Amino acid sequence: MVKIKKYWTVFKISIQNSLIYTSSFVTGLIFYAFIIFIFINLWRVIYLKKELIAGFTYNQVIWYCIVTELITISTGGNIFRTISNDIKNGAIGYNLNKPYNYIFYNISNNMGNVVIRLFFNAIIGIAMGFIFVGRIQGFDVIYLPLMLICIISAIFLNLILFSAVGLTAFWFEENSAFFWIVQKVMFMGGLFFPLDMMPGWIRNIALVLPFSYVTYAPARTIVKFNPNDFSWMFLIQVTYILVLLILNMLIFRKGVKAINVNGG
Amino acid sequence: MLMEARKYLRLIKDYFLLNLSAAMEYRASFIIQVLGMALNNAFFLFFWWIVFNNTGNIGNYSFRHVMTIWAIASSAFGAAFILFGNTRNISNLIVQGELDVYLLQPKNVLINVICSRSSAASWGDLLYGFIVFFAVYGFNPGKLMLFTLFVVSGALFITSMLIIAHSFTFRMGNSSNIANAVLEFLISFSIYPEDIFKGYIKFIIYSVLPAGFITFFPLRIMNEFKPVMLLALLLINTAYFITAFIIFYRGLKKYESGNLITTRM
Repeated sequence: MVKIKKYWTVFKISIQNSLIYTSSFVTGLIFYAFIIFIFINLWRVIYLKKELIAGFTYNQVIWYCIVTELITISTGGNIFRTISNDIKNGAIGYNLNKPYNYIFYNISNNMGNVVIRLFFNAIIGIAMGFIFVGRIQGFDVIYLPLMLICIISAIFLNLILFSAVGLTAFWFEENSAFFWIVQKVMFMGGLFFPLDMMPGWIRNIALVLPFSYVTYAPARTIVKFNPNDFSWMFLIQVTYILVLLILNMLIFRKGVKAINVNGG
Repeated sequence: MLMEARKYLRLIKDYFLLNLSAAMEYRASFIIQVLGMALNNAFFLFFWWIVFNNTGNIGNYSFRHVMTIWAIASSAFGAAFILFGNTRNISNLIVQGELDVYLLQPKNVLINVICSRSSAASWGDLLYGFIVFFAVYGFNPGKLMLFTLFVVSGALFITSMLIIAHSFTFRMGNSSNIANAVLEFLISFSIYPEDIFKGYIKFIIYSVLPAGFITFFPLRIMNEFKPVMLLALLLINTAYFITAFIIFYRGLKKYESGNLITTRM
């Protein structure tokens, strides 16, 4: 219990810090609104010819994009940059003897910031959704708690994924390219459109990869809620979270053995 | 006038070679960044392929058109940050009083500042644009010349807009957030089909945020070559660059030096 409490404290401090340094997420807020605006315009022109694409209406695709972009933009890449920089500049040396697990510390520390950004981005996203396409078709408020759980799990999964990429700095001086690639592989996970629009073989590959459970799973849960789909998607989300957490620990343990910090 | 221009071009060339040799010092890192960036851009191709598979044309834009604007945008942004990689850093230099070093040197301050750093990853953007161009048009010398010209003009539009945005720092404090937003807007507006924008947005992309002149206008020239359009593009391009110069130098008069002692290594 004490172990969890210290990460909860880190999380709360991170929220307080984020509320003080608001300017840092204002830019993200503008960018989020801008991307949604671009998608609203793009899909509007696309849906002029058809009413339904891969079982999705214009309304559902826009809300789908609002959710996927909400998750990815709110998560950002801070955890990757923090971990990479700590390893590259040797600051990680100061963290090794602290009474916390470095990975859990970074996740809790980032989660506070992410939650605040998620809150403000959600206000913008929901407002834009209502203004441009109206309420989500077939949305049932009863399922809202399950939808929120799916979003929080997706964010957690995203943070753990980026943390693993950040840890590659133990072996690669310049690891930004890995981060860009993982970010873009999210496209295959349904960042810009539902997996249902992809050819069957790509969709099958995408459903096996963890990226779909960061974007596709929560967005689909919200625009087309179905208890069965939610159950298996959430189960896979949790499985990936556990697998990637173990992977993070293993990489970290192996990396720390290889570390060589000079000076202090 | 011509002599001055030649001097500037030589300075840009010297900086380019110096920055390239510095990047080559860490060859493996350079290659990873270049390939990583090219691969990063290639994922957008996947996005458009899926979209066009489901929809056919978007307005008057075919897959080939979108690939062309992507090629121009990618190479133009690449060229901008290979040649003028320090443009993104102008606000920090002003805020931290680090412009002093450049003011003391016997070269044009702005050219000296913007050329003094290069982004290795931008080589991936430049390369990717040319790969896409050859995939779409094959080896077509006429189109290749036009494409290269559009890459240069696009790079100058991008650099001009960033200089203007960063120059606000002289008057209103650190404007790097504004400059970052301008960069993001320029990127996003220039890589989606023009037909999705209408009304006041169309006005914005041909004025305040000239993304239209970076990709859409060049695409029209590529589709149907008219010398008048090309001339118009080059004149507008020059006007933006001169405006950026004027705004920077007007702002520079407000610059307050710090007491920070810095060296350029």
